[in-house]
Amino acid sequence: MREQLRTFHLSGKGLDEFRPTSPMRPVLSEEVLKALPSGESFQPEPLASLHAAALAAELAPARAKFLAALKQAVAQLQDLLSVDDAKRSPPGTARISASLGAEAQRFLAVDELTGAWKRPASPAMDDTRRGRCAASLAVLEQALAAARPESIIFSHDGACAEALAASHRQLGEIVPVLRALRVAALEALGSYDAATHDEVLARFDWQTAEPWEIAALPSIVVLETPERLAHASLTAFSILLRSGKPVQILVSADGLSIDDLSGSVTDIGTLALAHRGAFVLQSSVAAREHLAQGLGEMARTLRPAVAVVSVATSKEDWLETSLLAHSKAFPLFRYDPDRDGGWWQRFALAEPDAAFKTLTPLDALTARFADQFRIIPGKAEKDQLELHEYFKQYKTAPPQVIPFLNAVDAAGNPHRLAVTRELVHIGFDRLRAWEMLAALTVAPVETQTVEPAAVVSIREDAAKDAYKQVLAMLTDPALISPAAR
Amino acid sequence: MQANPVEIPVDSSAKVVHQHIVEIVSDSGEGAQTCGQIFADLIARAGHGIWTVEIIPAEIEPPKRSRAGASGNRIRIGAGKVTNAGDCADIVVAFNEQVLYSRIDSGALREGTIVFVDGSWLTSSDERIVEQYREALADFRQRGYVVIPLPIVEECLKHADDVRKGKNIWVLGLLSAIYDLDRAPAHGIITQRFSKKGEATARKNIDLFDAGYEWAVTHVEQRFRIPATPHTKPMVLMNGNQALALGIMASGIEVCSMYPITPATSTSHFLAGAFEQTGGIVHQAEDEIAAIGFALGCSYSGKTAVTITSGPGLALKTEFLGLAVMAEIPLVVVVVQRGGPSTGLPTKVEQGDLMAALHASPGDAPKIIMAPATIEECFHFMITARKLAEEFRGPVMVLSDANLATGQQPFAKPEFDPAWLAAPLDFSPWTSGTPALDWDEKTGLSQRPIPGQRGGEYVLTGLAHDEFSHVAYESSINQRAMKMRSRKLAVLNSAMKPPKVHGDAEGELLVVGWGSTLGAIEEAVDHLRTEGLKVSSLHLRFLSPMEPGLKDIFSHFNRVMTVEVNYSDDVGDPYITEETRRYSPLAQLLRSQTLVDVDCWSRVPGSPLPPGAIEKQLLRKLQEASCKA
Amino acid sequence: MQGLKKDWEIQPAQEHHELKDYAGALPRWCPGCGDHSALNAVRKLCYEKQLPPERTVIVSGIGCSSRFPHYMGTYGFHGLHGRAFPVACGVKSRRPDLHVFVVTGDGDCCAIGAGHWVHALRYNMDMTVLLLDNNIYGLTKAQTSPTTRLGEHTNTHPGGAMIAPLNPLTVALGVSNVSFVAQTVDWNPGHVYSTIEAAHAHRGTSFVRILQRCPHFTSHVFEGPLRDPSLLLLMEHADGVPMEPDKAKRFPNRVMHDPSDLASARAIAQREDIYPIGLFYRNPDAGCYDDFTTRGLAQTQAEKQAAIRAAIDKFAIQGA
Repeated sequence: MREQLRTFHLSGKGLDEFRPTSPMRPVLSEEVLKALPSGESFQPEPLASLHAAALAAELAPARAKFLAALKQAVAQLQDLLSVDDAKRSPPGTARISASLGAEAQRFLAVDELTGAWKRPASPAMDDTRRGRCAASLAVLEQALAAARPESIIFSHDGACAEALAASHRQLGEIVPVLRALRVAALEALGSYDAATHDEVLARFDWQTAEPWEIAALPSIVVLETPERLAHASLTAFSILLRSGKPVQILVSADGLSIDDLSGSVTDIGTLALAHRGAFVLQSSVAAREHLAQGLGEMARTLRPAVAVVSVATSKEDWLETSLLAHSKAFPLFRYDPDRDGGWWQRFALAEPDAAFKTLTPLDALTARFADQFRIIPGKAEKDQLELHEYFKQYKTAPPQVIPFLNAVDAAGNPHRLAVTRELVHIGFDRLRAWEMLAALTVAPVETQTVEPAAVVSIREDAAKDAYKQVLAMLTDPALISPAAR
Repeated sequence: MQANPVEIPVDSSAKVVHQHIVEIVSDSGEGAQTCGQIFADLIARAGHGIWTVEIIPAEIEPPKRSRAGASGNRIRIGAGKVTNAGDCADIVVAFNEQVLYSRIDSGALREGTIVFVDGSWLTSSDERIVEQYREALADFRQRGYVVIPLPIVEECLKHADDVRKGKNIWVLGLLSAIYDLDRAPAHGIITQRFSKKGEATARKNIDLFDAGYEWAVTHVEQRFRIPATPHTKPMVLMNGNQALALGIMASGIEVCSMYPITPATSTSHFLAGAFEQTGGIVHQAEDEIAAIGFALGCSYSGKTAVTITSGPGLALKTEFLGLAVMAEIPLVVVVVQRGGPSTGLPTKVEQGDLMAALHASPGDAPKIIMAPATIEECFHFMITARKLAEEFRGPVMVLSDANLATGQQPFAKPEFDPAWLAAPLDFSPWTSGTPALDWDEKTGLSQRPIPGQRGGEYVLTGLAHDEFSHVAYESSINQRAMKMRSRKLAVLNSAMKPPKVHGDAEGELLVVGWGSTLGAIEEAVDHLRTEGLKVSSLHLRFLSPMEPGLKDIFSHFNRVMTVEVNYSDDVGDPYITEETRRYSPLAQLLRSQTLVDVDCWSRVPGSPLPPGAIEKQLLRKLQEASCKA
Repeated sequence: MQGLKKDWEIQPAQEHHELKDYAGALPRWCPGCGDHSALNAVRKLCYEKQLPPERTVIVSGIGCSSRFPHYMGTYGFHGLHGRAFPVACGVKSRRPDLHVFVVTGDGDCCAIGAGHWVHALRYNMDMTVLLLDNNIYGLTKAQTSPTTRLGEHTNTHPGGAMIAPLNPLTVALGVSNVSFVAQTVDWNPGHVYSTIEAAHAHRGTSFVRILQRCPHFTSHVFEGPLRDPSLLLLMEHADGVPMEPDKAKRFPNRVMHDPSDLASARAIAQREDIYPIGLFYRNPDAGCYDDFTTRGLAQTQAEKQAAIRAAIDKFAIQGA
């Protein structure tokens, strides 16, 4: 049996009769069971609608303010132009008669009055100013009449690239409107000075705009999955994250995206982090407060923003999704590039609840990867180690024992499940990934670390030799081998 | 669930009349006014002309069953347009016999008036009340009224628990039957009025209405039919204060500054709600002076404002009025006149403030004064007033009165014209060197700079000043400045049309009036004309400047007199001679303006002058004239 | 380009106003009159803050104090005795873009204008009020004013004023919704300026009483505190009216007073033995009536016209 187990662990083959047939569930303590959010109330809410609600709530004031600004600017320009109209072509008798009210004709000879009433002591606008006001008014009236959807969604193939193009277009189209708003504000005060303002407005672009003006625009949203991003859209995704444009990307991760068991997990969240300039949220529908908070912050940012959210598409998956989030397999974090400072100020990693601390990254995977587990018959043996302990002892090399997971079957009977090496490595890798992220949250400490003298000397020696060699090659080209040339 | 309303057979015994006057009076709080308002609404919808007058008790909480406590409405129904409240009532419905006495004392009843009285008092447990009731009814019959007691309480209790509520709706049904009105519109109005109190209440009131209606059908033999002329164009029905408020809104005024005073306040109440939709505000100031000060400040910074008051408030505002004239700042001042002098009769009509409006300010402060004569004019004149205030740079006073304020008359729905609105503020730079009061040498008119116009900075001052608004230290400046301010009125006068004479352009007697007496004067004149008498009338809308051509118009008549609701001494009273006689305000003005020996007849009854009373006086004047001749 | 960057803001034309742009007619106050000090401070404030002269309005009543607007190159309203406050409120009501100052005197504000004064403090519209208090009616030649000290000989009370004077500070601090009360003395131009600067910065009705010398009629009244700073009580606080430490050192009597403490402000204001100067009270959260009076300013023409039509339609007779 021991041999067979070892073979299975190392190769994944054999002991087929001990494959778990009924779904297995990891042994969870009372504490954990109490702390797990209830799947009873779980409704597989599409991530897109949660996000849309967050956007609507956060951006409503900016949108209202923008609409009010448009209306006010239109009113101001209309007033300016109508006052100017009255100066250019003084109102005729009919208009003056009308302005006196419907009964005035009975008592007043309007012609006489028209003759007596004075012309304004201030001249009409010059043509340049008139043209500027009229043009701005036209732009603003059009903007006011235009439809203003709350968001524009891209979800098919090529979504990232199309979203970026749409964002470019949208920002290009809003610039004339924002310019017109500024013209209206200045003209209303009579403070428009062509010498200064013509030039300033000419170089106006979307980045000079007020944040709330950009926030008021319809949100551009991309819906993606880790699989598609990892393969077809990775380049477009990266370009989008580097673009600096206000686009929101929602990635629905169904379980842990394990490509194949060679050890690579499609870690979109960490990939997005590396772009430094994008807002990144990694969260889970199982962590309700975290997700709600994160979506709210995401709605507020004007940078490219990615939310990678672990979702459960059915009630059956609810337990797996919960355990993924709480077992560190799927780290929950938020990275906000708009906060000043180092990683530790911008990056926040959620610590799992104390109750969940003993979970391993593999506790969640029993159902999905049933083939990677075998029920161990019989009693405990010396060369088997529980997974939690196994990971603890895994420092530079894996311990030479058979790792197992404690599980219960549907009937409640406890079993030990042996795990394949591949899956264990993946689990270990997730743990390491979490620890590396945790390290980012540590504020730098102003201490002198004293390195062991031996390490220092090895490094220095290595450096000396390499240094000498490279310097020699640089100074005497003859030393560079023909192959290297 | 409503049973099919009783079909009323067309009653051929209904008497056809061309006008009828109905009064509904009760103790205050019993809903007679509501009954009257709904009845007026029904009458108007049916295509009749109407004119209503509110009967208002003098105190807020008068004692029950007292003469002083009468509250209600008078509704005059007409086949065509109705222009005044008429003479004596044809039908009076009284919820108790004591309030009826107040109407008798006012001269509102005649022999033959049908009096419906709540007969429940006859069975009161209080013996004194029974005694009063019996005495009163005997008295009524002796005076020649047709007295019909109504079992209001008994009938109402069949449908409502609290008899104090519901009497008025029952009476409404009764009247609707007497005048052959269609029931469905009444049901509609009742449902709408009581919708806030719930469906059950509305249903109960409809039942009460139907009960009153059916009781009349079976127990009352009198029926009247007044021919109706269906409206050819859209019409509105409102009172004068509401018309003022709508006119204020339609003129583009955004600020109404006021202090509560009867009978002007309801305009501000209406505006306070309506302004929420049109973007304006009602400012309730700490007193009358602050109210006009606030309005003037608002006008100064560009947007012409309005302040609304009555006689006592006008008295307090006179210093600011003078400043508005002196500094040439546009302002609209509405005075809804009431009985004076001093606190006087707050709820009653009088035309007593003409002289105060003209003169009550230090020195010479000429200003424009207009007086609407109808409720329709209350609306349209506000637009004219605002425009004239701005173009002539000064205050325009609009004198209304308590009669117009609370009376209702239907008129053609005003078709709103955006040209009525005030122009947007002009902030373009002021041409350098142009004075702040750039008086045109001939007309005295000028444009004014407002804060925000660069280069137009000036300091407004009430001190004598030159055209740059610099305090005047030279003696000639004062003369010139006053000339300029006075000239503006002459310019307006030159742009006015002479008033139209109602009737022949020449004759024995010309009656001149102003304000809400228009309809009654013309009715009296028309009646005398049908009897071949050579009398005509003329009604002024502008009191300052006075309308042009009066002297010429007057020259075509042997005698000219004014008829007004204010005080003048009567010829023949002790000590009253040609020297000592104090003429009524308009007569004084006309006499000094035209040098014609304009006579006057005026009374201060606190209620509108009935056409019959005017007719009697005109007849007397004509007879005097023929005696002397 | 990562994210939004702030470019130079688009400002109204940097039309620079000189100090002389704020000067009007030559002041005709007596030499040595404290009103000059207030005028200089207001001109300097306008210049320092670059308030456009065309959008600054000085409103006054009648009196020596109220000649003020004529001596400024801004818009001005030299109105009626005691009635500056309602006019100023009206000026501001639909023009939130205007900088409004009220200049009044002890008779103008505390006698005939008292009613308006109390309510203006309550309305708390955004304006700065300067009460130039010389304890006498100057322009009309030496009648007793509400703030004239007991026993002072005046033309209407040659035997000496016999009623205790009104204390404008306790009155102001007693009005509900008051939001800013300060006092200063004309002979300390630095303090006058700092006080008016703080008053202008505050959103609400900033009431500043300036004890002002009248060399013609009441030259003796403020002689004491002029010569001896110990007759003044300097109120200090980080949130108060600032004074440079070396200048503050010259005041022997100083007190640390938190301007948010209304009770303490009232206690200090009541003192008759000393003249407190500085900021008594400031409440930035007091409601401003301007929030109501500016309602509907942003409404479009279309909305307004539709609303007017609807209002008229409500009175339509159905079936017509």
